[in-house]
Amino acid sequence: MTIVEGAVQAIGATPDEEEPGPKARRRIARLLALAWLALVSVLALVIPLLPAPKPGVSVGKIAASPFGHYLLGTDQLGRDIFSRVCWGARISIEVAALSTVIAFVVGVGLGLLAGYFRGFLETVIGGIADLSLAFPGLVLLLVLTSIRGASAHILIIALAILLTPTFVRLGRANTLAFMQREFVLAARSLGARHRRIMLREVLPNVLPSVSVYALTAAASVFVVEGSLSFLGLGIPPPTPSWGSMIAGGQQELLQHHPHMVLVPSVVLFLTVLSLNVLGNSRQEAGDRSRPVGSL
Amino acid sequence: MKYLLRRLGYLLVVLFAVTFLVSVMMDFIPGEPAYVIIGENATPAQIAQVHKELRLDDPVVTKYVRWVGNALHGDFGRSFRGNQPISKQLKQRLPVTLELVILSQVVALGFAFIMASYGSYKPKGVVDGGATFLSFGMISTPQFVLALVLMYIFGVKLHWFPVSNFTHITKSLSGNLKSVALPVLAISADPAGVYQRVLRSDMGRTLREDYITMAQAKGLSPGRILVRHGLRPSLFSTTTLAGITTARLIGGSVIIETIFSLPGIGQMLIQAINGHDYIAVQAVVGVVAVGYVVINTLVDLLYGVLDPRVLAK
Repeated sequence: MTIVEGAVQAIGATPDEEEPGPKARRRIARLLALAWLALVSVLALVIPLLPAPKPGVSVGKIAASPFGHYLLGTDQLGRDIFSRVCWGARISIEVAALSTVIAFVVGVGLGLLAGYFRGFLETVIGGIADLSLAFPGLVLLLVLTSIRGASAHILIIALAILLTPTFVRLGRANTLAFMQREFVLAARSLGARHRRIMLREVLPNVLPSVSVYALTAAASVFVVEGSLSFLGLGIPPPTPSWGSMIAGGQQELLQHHPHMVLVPSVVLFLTVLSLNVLGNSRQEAGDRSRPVGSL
Repeated sequence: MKYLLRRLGYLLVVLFAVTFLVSVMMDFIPGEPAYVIIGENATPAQIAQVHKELRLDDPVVTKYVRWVGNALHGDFGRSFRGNQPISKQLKQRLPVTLELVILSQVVALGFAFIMASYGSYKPKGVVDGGATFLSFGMISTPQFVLALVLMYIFGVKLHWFPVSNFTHITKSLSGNLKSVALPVLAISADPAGVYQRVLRSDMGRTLREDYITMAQAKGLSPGRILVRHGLRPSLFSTTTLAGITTARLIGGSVIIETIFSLPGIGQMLIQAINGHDYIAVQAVVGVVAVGYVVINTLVDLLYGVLDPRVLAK
């Protein structure tokens, strides 16, 4: 999803929503998405306090099926999958949240500067952003991890770098649109300083539409983090992450223990889906304030 | 014409910047290439010899200029491992990746065309609703999760498709198609979902135009209106998207190639990086960057076909 999602943002083609189905159904979908994200976050927060087995400890029975003695079964080393999914949520959420927030702050900041001051600054920032969209992101990730070794910190930094250009583009495009508005002109004629116009007049209007994309971006980080585990570049063991659990169970899948792959896969899918559902609905809600065209 | 030249110039700048950045990055990667070539027991004298032969101690810029010069002649150097010419490896592996990319784009665009056209013909119907719902699900499914699920259902349980053996197209066409079927499906789901959503929304907009009413008033059949009058003006966003996606997939099929052990350039890239074989990394990135430029140029040309006004500007 990351590949195309980036491309969608790159050309600014946001499909306008004509989702069939009554409003009520969409509200239910949104509530379910929120409920799922809340459940996952709460479990991730409280798992150290729960009387569940520690994620690295074997409980004795290898490859137990789900819904028996162990809620979600055990894996090839006899570790409790429920506990590992919850512990994995901690690291997966941390990576997704931090890298998105860093990219958001840096990207919107640069986009705001570029769109406000225009001229040379805009050319430089825009050029760099364009270039990095053409750059094979995987190479950057691979190079960074092979220099510093795979770790959560390196992942967060690398993913933040990859996400930033799109936030720059969105931030700049929205700034450009709001710079045309009367209230900016009014503020300027009242003698407001650049900083005040940027932070008090333009930024609050730019934020809503860009935060919509942040949800989608966060969803894509979950996916990339998982993908990297397949290349041996994700969160290194023994720390469980959803991606490494799925990648680690790959062999077992072929030996007829599908639950080791399916359980974390379903959790990951539902999380990505929920973020997309929310991102989508925020888009609808934000439509009124959204400027024409986001290129 | 001026527009095209400017775009082409811009894309060439991108091409050089990307390859140059990669060669700078490769310089940062720790690890002694001589160890890779000779082995862990290389003596300092042997290391110095390798450095001299491959001119590893030259400044980055010099190395890059030399690399570009050779690459333009189709010479990407020799792999650190096995001392094979890299161009030969590329020649074997590139077709595999291209096949994956092209087939998955055909599947994705086919899905989008059919679903979006029918969906805008009968808006808010069962097919339209179902397709929108399905697309949303496909966009939210991580590629590797879909790959593993497909592998489990159709490979392990039903034995319809092989799980990992790649059959080369020269050996058997049907065997080849069978071995790429699951990877292609896994790759195409996400773009298919995105194209469907974008195309459907653009079609919806186009169909509200006056000339569509005019065509209906003339008594043209719905199919003819959709394909001849509706589709072409609605293709702009989808074409751009498909271009960018195709270009990115050339380097982005790494995960799928790894999961299904397909001998494409994605697999080559990952092996090269793990083996500190930076000459091979540079070659793959170079090919990917050229692909990006070529495809984007083609897309720009396509704009002219879709809407001749673009070229007149």
